Amino acid sequence: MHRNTQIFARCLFVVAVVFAFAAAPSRAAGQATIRDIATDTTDPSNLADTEPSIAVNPTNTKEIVVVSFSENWGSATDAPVWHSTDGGVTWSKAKQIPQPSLPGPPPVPTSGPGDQKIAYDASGKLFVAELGLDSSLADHDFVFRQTGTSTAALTPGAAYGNDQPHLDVDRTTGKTCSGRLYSPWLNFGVSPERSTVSNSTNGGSSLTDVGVGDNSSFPNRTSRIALAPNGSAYLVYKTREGAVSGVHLPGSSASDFENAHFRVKRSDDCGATWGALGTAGTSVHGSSTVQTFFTINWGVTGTGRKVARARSSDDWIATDPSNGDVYVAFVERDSSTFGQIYVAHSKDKGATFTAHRVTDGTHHSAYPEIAVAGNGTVGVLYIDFLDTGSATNFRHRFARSFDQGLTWVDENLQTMDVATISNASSGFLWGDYEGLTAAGNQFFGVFTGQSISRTTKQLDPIFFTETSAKPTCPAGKTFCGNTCVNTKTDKNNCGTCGLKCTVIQACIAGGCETRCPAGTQECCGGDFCRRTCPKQCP
Amino acid sequence: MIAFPRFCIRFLVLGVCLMATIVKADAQVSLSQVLSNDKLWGKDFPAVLASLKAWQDAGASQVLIFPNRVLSSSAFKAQQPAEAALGKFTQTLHAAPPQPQKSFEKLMAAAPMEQFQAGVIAFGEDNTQRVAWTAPSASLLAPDLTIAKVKEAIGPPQKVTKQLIQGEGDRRPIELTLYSYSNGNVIFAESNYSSPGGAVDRVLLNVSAASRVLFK
Repeated sequence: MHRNTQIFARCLFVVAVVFAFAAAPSRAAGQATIRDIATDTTDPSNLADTEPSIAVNPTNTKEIVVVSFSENWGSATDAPVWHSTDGGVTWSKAKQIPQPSLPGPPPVPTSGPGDQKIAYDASGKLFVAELGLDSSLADHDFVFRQTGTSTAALTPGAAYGNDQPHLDVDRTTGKTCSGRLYSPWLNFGVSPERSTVSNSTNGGSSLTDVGVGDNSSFPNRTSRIALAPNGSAYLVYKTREGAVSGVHLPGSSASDFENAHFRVKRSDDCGATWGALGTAGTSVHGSSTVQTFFTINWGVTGTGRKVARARSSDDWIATDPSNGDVYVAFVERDSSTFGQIYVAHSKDKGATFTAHRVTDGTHHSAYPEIAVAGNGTVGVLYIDFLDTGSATNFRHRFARSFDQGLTWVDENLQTMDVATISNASSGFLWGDYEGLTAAGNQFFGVFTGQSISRTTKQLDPIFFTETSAKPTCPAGKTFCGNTCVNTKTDKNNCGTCGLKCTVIQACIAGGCETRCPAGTQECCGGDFCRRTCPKQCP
Repeated sequence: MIAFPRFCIRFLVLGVCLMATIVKADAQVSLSQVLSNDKLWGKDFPAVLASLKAWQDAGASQVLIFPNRVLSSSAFKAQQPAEAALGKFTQTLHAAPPQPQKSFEKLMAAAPMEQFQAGVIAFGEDNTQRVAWTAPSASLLAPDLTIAKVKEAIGPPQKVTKQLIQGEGDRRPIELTLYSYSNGNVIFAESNYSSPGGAVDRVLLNVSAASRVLFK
């Protein structure tokens, strides 16, 4: 080949490689594909895009929508919904959430949005629950429903509710509750506050409010909903049972934890009544209280650092679309002294739960969202932070369980030092919740993370997708934790995943065998080798 | 306090910087100029000025001026102390008004007070009880007032800061961007809930400083 042609070909190759990297989605350390939803063009005001929510169209899983605080509505402009029609590779903004008003006369326009959740029904129609503020800055909720094309202005329904509306729509077909819309929210209009669920047969045009949480002794919080394939509706909420004194997050002097129960209630009649699991519902962690976060100091408090709010950021609920099993993710400060993510699993429609820890007991963790894929794999999106060193590095993480929540494979999606991100507002870094869902055998999520390939480093809505398929290993190896190992020789997974040999043992043919050097013997049940064993073991 | 622009330190051009700072300070608009600038205020704004003594007696260090409502900066968790403050407010409001300075006599003579109603409201921003003075059809701020229009009328602010207001609930907290003028005695605030376009959400006015300017 001619020399100039060779140079040209090499240049072309380099350009092609660079272009391929630029065009390809960024990859996290694990397998998940992540992508910044916002760009300089779609987000020229560099908004922080907090409290994101995600939904996947069940009739076309390439069609994905996200809402976050990406622009307000006003008298002359609608708030946006992010749309992707190619499975999350590219995103555009459709201004389609008009300013809702309270009934008059004259109608009172609200400002907002102040909270949001997005969902599809079985036919692929879009619904969004939003919170707006009146002139006294009091909360009012609205469900917006699709009445035109997928990107046309949505139609607001009647005002209802109060704080933090969530949303789901029964996507079953041919059942009594098919198409029923449910929106849980927290009622600050009663004392103490009560978890309430509004339901609607007409897509939120009008709603019926039903008090659900047991607030007879304690205020409720963190209300989330999940709908089972048989048409049952489940609500998880917490009862706030008093601050934990003397326990603080790093650098904080406040009471950052509270005692709580996380409870599940069930409705078998399309949300009309919720007594199927008793007045208070089932506690997913047994009868004792657990300690969970209730703080505006989540992180490390100190000069030059930023912290998050974690008050209603400690539970989420999902059902297995194939068999109706119920899963609840919740926070518990356990013997590790860290707030940890647990997942409780019920095989009997919420009557009983068995809980296992997702996280590894080394970092404070919160903000769990949970989803279950079609093959039964469970996914949990959560955040933890590193509390050593001069910076606070928050990590968005995604854990999967291929065995109904018994063991977990964990990957880091993104690490960010929010102190270096100018539009990260200390006290409300990403909000109270983020987004996770599953469609078929794929997980889809969105979190408020550090921008990727933006001119100005900032918080953006970051989309990710991850398979629910258990990783396959080469012949002779087994998937344990998050790697493939040879269980015949691996000291940490000897014979089976998680079975550890002692320091003086070797894993031989799948069994732990003591191998003390010549002239020494095994002491203290295999803890060490000595010429002479001590009379008392340490 | 005089704040030196960052470039002063970076380039150590102290003389030039001092000059720039002094020029900036000299150029700062006085509270009197702000209060009498009709590009900033709506037709009913004189009522706010005429009510300042009542706000002072009700214990308000600042008033929060919204398009058709004035709120006290005094925030109460319980209804009772808020009602007591309301009593003091209405008592002074109905007493003989203080004598305005000559330069404000004309403006305050036309203060449309009758349309306003005083009461205690539950202020959703921080879940407190506040004394409020409201007239649904009033226009206290200039129509469609934006921060850009404020800057055009009275120049750049002395200071721009952020304030995050965490209520007891879970909705997105209100974050105010505060544009301070006249040594912080008048602050134009933009809210993260405002419609797009940098609309002024409210104005925070120092009651005692404004009273000193307005009254004999």
